[in-house]
Amino acid sequence: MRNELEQISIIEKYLNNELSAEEKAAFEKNLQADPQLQEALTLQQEIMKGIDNLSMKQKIHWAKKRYYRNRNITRWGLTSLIVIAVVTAIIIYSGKNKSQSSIKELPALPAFNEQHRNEWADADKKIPPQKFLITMGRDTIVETKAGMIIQVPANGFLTGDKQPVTGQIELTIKEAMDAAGIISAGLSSTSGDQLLESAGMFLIDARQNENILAVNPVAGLYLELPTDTIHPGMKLFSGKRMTDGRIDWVAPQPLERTLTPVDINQLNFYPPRYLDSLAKWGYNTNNKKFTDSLYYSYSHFFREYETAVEESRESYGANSYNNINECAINPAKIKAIWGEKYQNTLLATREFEERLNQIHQTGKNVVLDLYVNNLDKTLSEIDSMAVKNLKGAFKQRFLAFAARHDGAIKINSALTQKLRQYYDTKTKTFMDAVAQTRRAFWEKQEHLDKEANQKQTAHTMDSLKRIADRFNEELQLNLKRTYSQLGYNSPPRLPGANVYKARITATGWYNVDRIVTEATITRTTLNISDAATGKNASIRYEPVSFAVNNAPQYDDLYIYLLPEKLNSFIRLPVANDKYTERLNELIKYKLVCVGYKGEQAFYYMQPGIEPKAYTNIELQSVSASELNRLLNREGNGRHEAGIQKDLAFYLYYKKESQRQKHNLELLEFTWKVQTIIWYYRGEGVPCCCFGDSYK
Amino acid sequence: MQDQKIIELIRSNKNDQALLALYKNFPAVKKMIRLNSGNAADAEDIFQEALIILCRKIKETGFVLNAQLSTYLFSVCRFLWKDELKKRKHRLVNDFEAGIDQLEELQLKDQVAEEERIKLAERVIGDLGDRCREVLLLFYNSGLKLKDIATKMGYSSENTAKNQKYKCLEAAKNRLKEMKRPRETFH
Repeated sequence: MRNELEQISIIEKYLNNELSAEEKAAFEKNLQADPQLQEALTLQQEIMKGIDNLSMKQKIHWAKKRYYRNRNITRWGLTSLIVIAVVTAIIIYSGKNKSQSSIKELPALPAFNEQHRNEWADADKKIPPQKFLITMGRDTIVETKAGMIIQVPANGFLTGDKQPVTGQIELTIKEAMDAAGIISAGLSSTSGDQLLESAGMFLIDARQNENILAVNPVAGLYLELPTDTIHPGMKLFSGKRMTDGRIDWVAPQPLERTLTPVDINQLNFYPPRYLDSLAKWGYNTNNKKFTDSLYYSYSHFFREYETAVEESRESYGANSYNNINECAINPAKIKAIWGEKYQNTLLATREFEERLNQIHQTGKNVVLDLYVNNLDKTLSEIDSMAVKNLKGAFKQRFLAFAARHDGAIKINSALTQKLRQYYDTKTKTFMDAVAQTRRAFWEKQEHLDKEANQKQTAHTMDSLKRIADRFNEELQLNLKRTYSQLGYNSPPRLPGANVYKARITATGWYNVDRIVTEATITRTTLNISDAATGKNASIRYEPVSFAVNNAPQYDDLYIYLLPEKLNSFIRLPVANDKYTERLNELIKYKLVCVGYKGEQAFYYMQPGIEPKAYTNIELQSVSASELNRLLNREGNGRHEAGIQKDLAFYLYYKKESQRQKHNLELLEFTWKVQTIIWYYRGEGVPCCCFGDSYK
Repeated sequence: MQDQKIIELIRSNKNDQALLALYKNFPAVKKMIRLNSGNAADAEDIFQEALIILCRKIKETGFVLNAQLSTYLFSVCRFLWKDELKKRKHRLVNDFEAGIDQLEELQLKDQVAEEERIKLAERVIGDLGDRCREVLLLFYNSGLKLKDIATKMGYSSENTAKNQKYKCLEAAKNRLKEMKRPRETFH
C-alpha cells in the first residue's frame, strides 16, 4: 500500500480505537510533533462524520416517508385497525427474515416460476425474497422493506381452476428499488433496444402449499411505489425472462395515479379569490359558518333564473337571457357535495379540488355535474369527458388533467346511484330554500320601510302642530300682558284671519298684535310705547343654556323645557354640546333631560329655570318604567304624553336608521362578493345580467 | 416506544426504527415553527438537523438524559430555529425561549458550529463519484461485512474493496483540504 493510504489506514484504526497500546502511544507522539499529521487526522475525522451525517439523512428521509405513509394508513378509516395489525405482524416477520438473510445462502428457488415455467433470470437468484403470510378473505396491506405498499383485496387471488383462494397464502416479493439494487441483481432498464428510466423493479409471486396462484383479474392488486418526484409518462412494464439471464421489459401500461381521499371539510370548494377577497375586506375567513352561508346564499340567482326563463318563454316564446348555468357554478351544487355524504369519494381528494378551481372559472355547471355523477369512473376518464364541453385555454387545461392518469376511489354502483339522486334533490331543495328565505327577508324589509315612512310623516305632522300650538299659547300670553301694560282692557285674542280683517282700521291694536307676534316668533325682547295712552309695554326674552356632563358619552340626549303655563314642550337644539333657548319672562320653565346609553335611560329634572348658563348637569340612570313614572309626574298632565311620544319616536328612528344602514351595507357587500363569484367575460361585462341584480 | 429503547437502538446503530419513533414529534415542531414565522420546509430542515444532533449526542459516551427524549428534541428544535431566525435577522418574539439551561445551550452552540463544519465534508462526499460515495456509505454505515461489500460492489477481492475505500477516503480528504485552504489564506 502507498504511504498515503497507509496513513489513512492508521488514522482510521486510531479513530476506531483499534490500535494496540504501544501503537497508540507511538501515534500520539508523532501527532504532537507533526502538524501535517494533525491536519490529516482532523480532515479524516470530518470526512467520517460527513459520511455518518449523509447516511443519517438518508435514514431520516426514509423515516419521514414511512411516518407519512403510516399516518395515511391510519387515516384510511374503518379498516385501519386490521391494517395496522397486519403491518406490524409483517414487520416482525420480515424482521425475522432479515436476521436470516445475513446468512449468505439465499433460499432455494421453487421448481417453477409464476408462469409455470422452469425459467429463471439472474435477478430471481440474486435478490433475497421477502415473504408475507396473508390470510385471504379479508383486505390486507403489506409494506416491503423498500417501502412499496401492496394492497391485497379479500378475493385477490385465484386458484388454478379460477376459484377464489381461501386460507393462508405466501406472498413473495423481490424488489430492486435503487440503482445499486438494480445493478447488483443484474437487472437492466432496457426494453428491446430502448433505454428506460426505472423507478424500481419488483417481482410478485403468490403460492399456497406450493401451488402457483394467479391474480384475480377482476379485483387486481394495488401497488404504491415510493418516489421523491412524480415523473410524467411513467409506465408499468412486464418482465420477460431471457435465456441469457436478463429480463426484458415489455408491454408497457400507463400507470394509474391513485387518489387518496382526505377529509372533505379540509378542502376548499369555494370559487378562487373568494376567501382571499373576504380576508382582504377584513372578514374572518376562519368562520366557515359565515363563509358558507354567504356563498350558498347566491344560489337564489339560479332559482330566479329558472323563473325568469319560464316567464320570458311565456311572453316572448324564447329565452331572452344569457344562460346563467354557463356563467357561474351554482353554489347550491357546492353545498350539496361539500359534506359528509361525499367523504371517501373522488370528490374528497386534492386532485378534484384542483379541478373544481378550474371549473369555477369555466362557469359551466355541466362540467361539475360530470364529476359528481360519475363517481365510479377514474378522474382521468371524467377529465376526458369534460374536455368535450370546453373550448380554448380551459380545454387545454382539462386535457392536461386527463394526461395525469389520475385514478379512482373505489365505490359501489348502488351508492353512486344514490349520491346522484341526492345531488339533484339536495341542489333543488336548497335553491328553493334560499330563494324563499331571501324573498321573506326582503319582503319584510319592504314592509318595515313603509312603516317607517308612515311613522316619520306622522311625527313631522305632530311636531308642526306642537310648534304651532305652543306659538299660539305663548302669543296669547304675550298679548294679554302687553295689553294690560298698555292699559287696554280688551281680552286678548289670536290674530286669526277673520279677526284681522275685521280690525284693519284699529291701527293701535293692529300694531300691537303685529309687534307681539313678531317678538313671539323671533323670541326677542319686546319694547313698545303706545301713542294713544302714552304707556310703555315690554316683554323680556333672555337666553339660557345647558351643558350636560360627558354629553358625548350618551348615544342620544334630549333636553326639554316645559313651560309651566303652557301645554306644550320645547325640545332644545344643540350646538357644540350646548343646548340653548330664550326664556320668556312671563313663563316659568322646568328642565327635563333624558339620555340613553344603549338601552339604559338617564334622567335629570330641575324646576325654576332662570336665564343663565347651567353647567355640570349630571343625569342619573333610571329604569324604563321609572322614567315613565318621572315623566308622568313632571309632565303636568298633558306634557308627558307628548314627551313620551316624542322620545319613543326618536328611539324608533334610531333603530330604524340602523336597520336601513345595515340593509344598504348588505346590498353593497352582496354586490362586491358577487363580482368575485361571477366570473366576468369580456371587457368588464358581467356574464349574467338579469332580474333584480342588486338584491 | 420507550426513550431507553430508542437510545439503545441508536447506540447500536439501528437507527431506522428509532427515527420512525422520533418522527412522531414532528407535528409539534412544525406547529411551533409555523407559529414563529417559519414554513413547513423550514420545519423539516430544522427537524432533520435536530435529529442528527440528538443522535450524535446519544452516541457520546457521557450522555445522560435529564428529560423526556421528546422534550429534549423539541428544545433542540427551538434552539436551532431561534438561531436560524437570528441569522435571518428576524425580530424575535419575546417569549420565544428554547427552554434549556445555559450549559446545555453552550454545548449546543458548539455542536451547531461543528455541524456547520461537517456540512462542508458532506458536500465533498456528495461531489464524489457515485461509486466512491456508495463504497464509503457501505463501509461505514451499512453494517455489512467486507466480503459482502466486495460482492455487492463487484470487486474481485476483499483487499481490492479495502484499497478502493482508502482511495476514496484519500480523494475526499484532498478535496476537503483544498476547499478549506482558500478560506484560511484570507484569515
